Amino acid sequence: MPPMPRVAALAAVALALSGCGIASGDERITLNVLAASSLTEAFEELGTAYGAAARNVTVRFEFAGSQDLAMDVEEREPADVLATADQASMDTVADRVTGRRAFAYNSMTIAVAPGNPRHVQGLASLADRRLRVVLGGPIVPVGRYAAQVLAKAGVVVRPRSEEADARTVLTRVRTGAADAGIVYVTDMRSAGIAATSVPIPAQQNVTATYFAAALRASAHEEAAKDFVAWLRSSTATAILRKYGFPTP
Amino acid sequence: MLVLPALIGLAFLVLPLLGLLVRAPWSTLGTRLARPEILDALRLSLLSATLATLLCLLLGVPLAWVLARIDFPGRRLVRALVTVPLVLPPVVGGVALLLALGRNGLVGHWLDRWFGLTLPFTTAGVVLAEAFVALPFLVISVEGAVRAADLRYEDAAATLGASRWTTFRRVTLPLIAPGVGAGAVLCWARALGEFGATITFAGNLPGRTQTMPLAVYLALENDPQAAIVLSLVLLAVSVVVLAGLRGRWVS
Repeated sequence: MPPMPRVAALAAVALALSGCGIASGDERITLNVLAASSLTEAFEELGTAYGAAARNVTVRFEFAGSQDLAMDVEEREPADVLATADQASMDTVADRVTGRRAFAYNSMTIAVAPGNPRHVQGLASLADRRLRVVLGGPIVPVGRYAAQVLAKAGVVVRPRSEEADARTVLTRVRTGAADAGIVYVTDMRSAGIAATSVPIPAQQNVTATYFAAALRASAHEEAAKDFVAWLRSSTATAILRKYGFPTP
Repeated sequence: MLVLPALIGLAFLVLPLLGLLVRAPWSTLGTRLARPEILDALRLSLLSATLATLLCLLLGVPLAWVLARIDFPGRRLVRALVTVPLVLPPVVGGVALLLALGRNGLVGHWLDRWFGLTLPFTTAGVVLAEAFVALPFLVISVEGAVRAADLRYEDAAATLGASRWTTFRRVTLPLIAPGVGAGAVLCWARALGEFGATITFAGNLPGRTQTMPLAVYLALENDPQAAIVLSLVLLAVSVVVLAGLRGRWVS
């Protein structure tokens, strides 16, 4: 059975019935959202809130490093929405997405063991070769941002490991395998008391910008665009702020 | 009735490999293979898989001998324990290794405190992770060989006054050599392909812990062509291993 005509009709119905940008047809739609791993907790709550606002839409998430997600879009995943932690990852799939917009910001901090037993004072402390530092890999957003932050501070770090996403960097610190790692400010919330944060001053810090876009290959392109637009609504921004993400 | 699903099954196995061969950047293969980061990963892979195999031989041959020759209570349980890494998802193996040998692990904690020795983020950690998943292959192969070896040769050696160690070294070992060889090759191939336990336990750093499979995974994200080249190398190694084992394990 060719699915396209039915989906197109459904999208038309959804469009006709929606006044406020949220689809409300009779048939249930499941939106597959590929999201950066640093968005995990915030997006799970956003998904619940969106399910309540748009009753015919269920949002399903897959979280991973943004560069991984961009590759998913290129190679295999039949997804509807992509949310990345940086512009570069979104740029790599620019011709496959539509309606992209920035919806949240983030910045970097240093994660250390609870109580900061190694007395990390700031970025300069990370140059100490006796300190086990773990960073994101050079192609992962969290790694690229870490490299920018270190370059601004003029600090050269030799990491013990280059991890594939932001949460793994934090996990290395939480489990004690690493003494310090550069992660997103918002990640520290998920660590609770399992890690302490050593702030990076604003003049050395960078602003990470999160982008969301609908995928052109999506079978529910209109519903996907609605979801992306909704990320800028007051409900969504309130949730994002609650998890520590400044919003535009 | 059976031919069609059989053909589909064959296509299912062969098609992905074909994809690899078709999409390979053959014209630039040489220059890509010679790039320092690929050579680094290759060198590290060969080194760590070989060291892991040596470690497996050192520990696995005695273990296989004990399982095959000595009747002790709980032998079946021990045999089951030995095969656990075979069915365990390698990532779980990596987590388990972290909990045991990580810096805050059961044993790792003391290694760090007494000797200042930490295994995660080191090449030694890579070797351990690979040995953990590869050891069962060696033990199973060698145990089969020991069982198949005629016990009467050992008995004869013993009646002629040879000690247990001499008997093992001079009689049993030559008898089971083909089994040990096959087990070692299989073990080496498994170690070479190890990914999950390695990235979880040892981390990922070019030149130190980034083996070929890790390089494939990470290259896929920014340089798919390089990932294909690395995959081809691993595929070639697998084919060579299979060819070498022809008639031993496969048939």
